[in-house]
Amino acid sequence: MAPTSRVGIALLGAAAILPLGLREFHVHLLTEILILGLFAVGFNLLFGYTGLLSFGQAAYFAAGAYVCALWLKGPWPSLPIGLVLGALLAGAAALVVGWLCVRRDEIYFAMVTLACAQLIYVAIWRWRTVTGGSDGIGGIPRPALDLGVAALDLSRTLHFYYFTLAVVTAALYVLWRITRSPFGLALRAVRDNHRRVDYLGLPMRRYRLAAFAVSGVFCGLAGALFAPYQGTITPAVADWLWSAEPVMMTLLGGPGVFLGPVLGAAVITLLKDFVASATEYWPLIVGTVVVLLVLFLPGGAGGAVRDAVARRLAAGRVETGSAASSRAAGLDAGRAVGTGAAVLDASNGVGAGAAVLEGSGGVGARAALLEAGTGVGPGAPGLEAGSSVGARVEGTAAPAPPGRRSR
Amino acid sequence: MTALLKTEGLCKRFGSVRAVDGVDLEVREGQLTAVIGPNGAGKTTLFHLVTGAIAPDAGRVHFAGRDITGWPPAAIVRAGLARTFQITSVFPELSALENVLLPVLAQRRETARLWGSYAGHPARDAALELLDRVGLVAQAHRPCGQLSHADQKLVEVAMALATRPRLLLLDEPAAGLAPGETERVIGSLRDMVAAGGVTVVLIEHDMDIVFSMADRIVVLHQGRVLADGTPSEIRANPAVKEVYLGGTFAGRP
Amino acid sequence: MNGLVLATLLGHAGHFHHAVEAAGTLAGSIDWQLYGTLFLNGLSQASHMYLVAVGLSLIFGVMRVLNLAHGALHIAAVYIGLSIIALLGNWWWALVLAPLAVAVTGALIEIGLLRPMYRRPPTYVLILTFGLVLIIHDLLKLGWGVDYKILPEPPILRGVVDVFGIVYPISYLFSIVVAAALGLLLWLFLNRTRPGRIIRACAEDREMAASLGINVPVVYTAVFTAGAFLTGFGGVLMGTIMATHAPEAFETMLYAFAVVVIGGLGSLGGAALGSFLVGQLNAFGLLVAPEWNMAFMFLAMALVLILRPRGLMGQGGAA
Repeated sequence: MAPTSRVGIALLGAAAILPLGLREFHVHLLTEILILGLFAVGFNLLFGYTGLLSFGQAAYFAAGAYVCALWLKGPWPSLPIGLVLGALLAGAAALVVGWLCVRRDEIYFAMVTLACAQLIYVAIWRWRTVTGGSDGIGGIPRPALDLGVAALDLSRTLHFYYFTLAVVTAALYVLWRITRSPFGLALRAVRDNHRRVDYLGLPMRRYRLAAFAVSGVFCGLAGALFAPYQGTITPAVADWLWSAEPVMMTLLGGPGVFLGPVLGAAVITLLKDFVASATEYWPLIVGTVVVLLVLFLPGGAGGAVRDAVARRLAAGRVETGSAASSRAAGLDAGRAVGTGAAVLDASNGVGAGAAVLEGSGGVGARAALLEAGTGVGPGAPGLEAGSSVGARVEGTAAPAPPGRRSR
Repeated sequence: MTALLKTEGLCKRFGSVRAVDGVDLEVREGQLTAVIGPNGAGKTTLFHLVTGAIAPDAGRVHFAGRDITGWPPAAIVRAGLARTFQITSVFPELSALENVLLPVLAQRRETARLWGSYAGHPARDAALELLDRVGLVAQAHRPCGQLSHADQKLVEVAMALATRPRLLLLDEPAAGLAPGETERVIGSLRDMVAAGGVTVVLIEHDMDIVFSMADRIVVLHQGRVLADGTPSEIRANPAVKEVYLGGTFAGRP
Repeated sequence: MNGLVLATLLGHAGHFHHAVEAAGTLAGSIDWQLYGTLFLNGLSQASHMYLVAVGLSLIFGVMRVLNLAHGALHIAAVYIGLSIIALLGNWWWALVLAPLAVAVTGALIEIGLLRPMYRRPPTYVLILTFGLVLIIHDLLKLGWGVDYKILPEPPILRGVVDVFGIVYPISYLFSIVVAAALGLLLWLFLNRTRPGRIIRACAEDREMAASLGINVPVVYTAVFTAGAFLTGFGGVLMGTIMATHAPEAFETMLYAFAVVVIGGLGSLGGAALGSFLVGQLNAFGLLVAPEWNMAFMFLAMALVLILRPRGLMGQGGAA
């Protein structure tokens, strides 16, 4: 079994057991980490895997959130249908916007995605009859889910957590498979040297567009989960500051590690909850962290752990000729085609070592996550469940509404 | 024998410079054609025009009986016309194997698949075989960016071959290589041509390589075809001697 | 100041109908006076945006850095100006010293944070400057709170004048004239002086400039500092006309972006044209669909990026 899947299963196990020992509020936070983690990994399909910095993923998050919220408030409220609709419509929106955006590179791409996202933001703000304008949509229900054998009462925090865990796990699994698929290889090639791709017979823009749409689907799915999670949805989730969230999470967790953004989401969410209760100057801390990360740790925490483990493994290989080294040697000899799992792992681009390392990086991530997750339990000041979460969305430097003051 | 590639009156200006100025060219199947000419003669621009990298101001390009003028580069590659670049262009963070695997998958129309692992894909065999042909199997799992310049050039050739081209345009495959490395790269190219199945057009400055390998030589000068013929014809051509080869070449056999 | 005119000028979406009526009353219901007022409004908005955008554009042109924190520096000048006025009691000191303070900040940012990043992918530099927006925004909040603040105008700029039958505040006209004059000076500097030519040489070809013996890092620092100074100068002018608060660090940046993207990143003329267009779009957008004028701007920006990615006055082909 590939190391990443081992890490994934270990993480899943931890995520399944963890809430049993936590208070309701922390289960609530954990749910948010899952949702934002999915958002960030969806973003990172573009950033880390395709080399496109989108400053407008909030638009698709919001599209998913609003579609799902409206469905849940409609005559046939069903969460699974709401999620599917939210994800698909967000993907459709991304397909349309992406068609415009993928013609540009780097900074220009970031700018068009930002401009288009702002358009959607203003549209949400102004289209009051449907979106509720600045008030947003409140009282989003979480209808019970009949699974046949048992019913999930999603209005209960724990039940909703497990439902979210199932959805996010499935979504992350699909995303992971996509990064390993032939399509995923094409995306990594686009990231590495996008001008070259066309000359291998691959229309580069079409791959960018497909990546944009797929990313939109998963960002939309995250948004669709977020609507019933919060119970209220406001235009703040379409704002460009919300677009910056997955950027920061990914940078923090490491764009080169599949689950890195989830680690980033965990750290940011927990830090925010902790800091926001102590100070309103949360953006100051995030800003400082971002600047320091970009300056000193561009690979993110996940990347740093991976590199550290890489160095240790490399040292170990020289001294002891460990399993890792024999596996690497086998790969170098690699004429023998399809040598099984070891070869499969080697697909991460840095050769055999990296495959092993990516797994190890993930282990580091899990350790950090667990540490953070448990560390907060006793440490957190006695907050009312939900209060700080709401405060964060409202209070993170919410900008003036468009047109409130024309300049 | 009909022409595999044919250009008619191909023109491209950059500002006031006529980089390519009415080039009519025919490349016959199975031959190795070398395009030579002094710097700025329009050789690379000609490649760009043929492969769809830039659009011509005038003229047509026919390939394998089809008019491919104005086609996007990817479509031209899929029609069977591949190229390499003067400045080596690979995917530096992908392994050498992945660099070659991608075009193999593309050629098999597998790259639109979102499911299934590329690493365990049957196309790996083909990719490894291509790396074997350029002698790089031992380097298969190293990131391409860490390979030597010569190895990267060879990976690029393998990438081009992976698209299963009928015609391969090589832009200075020996540029910037140390003498020993040149031998290795050119040796690989020779084997490749000898193995057959692919027609090659080569831009090269090294006259030893050109005259020893080419079946036919096209001399470009200031965007126009100055001469076109077998190596011995070119050698004997006074215009070529005067304009391009000058005195330095005259004494060679 | 005439309150009704002010309502028009500020163009609050909510005040819009008010404003139109007011302008109508003042003008004796003659349309061209309304249009004239809106046009001047557009110009005065353009004058502030130009001072932000021209620096942003210059910095991008020379350094290939898109400084997201440029709007934050603009707003910072308002607050610094406020403290200077409180300290020295004179608006004119604020007009000189606040931009200088911002310029020093800019120099520190360039030397300390951007210089180590020159060899890194542009997306990472973009993210770094985004982090700076968050930091500056919060520092402003920490220092001066979140209330709307306005700089008290000096007596000489108080009151209104009659411009071809349109009653218009002096301070607005002052800002239009000053911005235009600065724009002209900048153009003369870049085109007619040796340092200006050096800067343009760096903008055109970094490596070439370096190989000609130009000290590129010094040029970068100078350009970034000058850009910060200009945005700070615009901040003081703007802060005198309109009430501002810290969160506008973000909004200003979005506007400045739209301006430079529409005009052409790296082009001085483009910054002027972009400011003019966005200013007028904003002013006249009020007539058509007051609530959607920001949408118009982003639509224009998206269209330009798609159809003419280098902007209306930018050089070169596709991005």
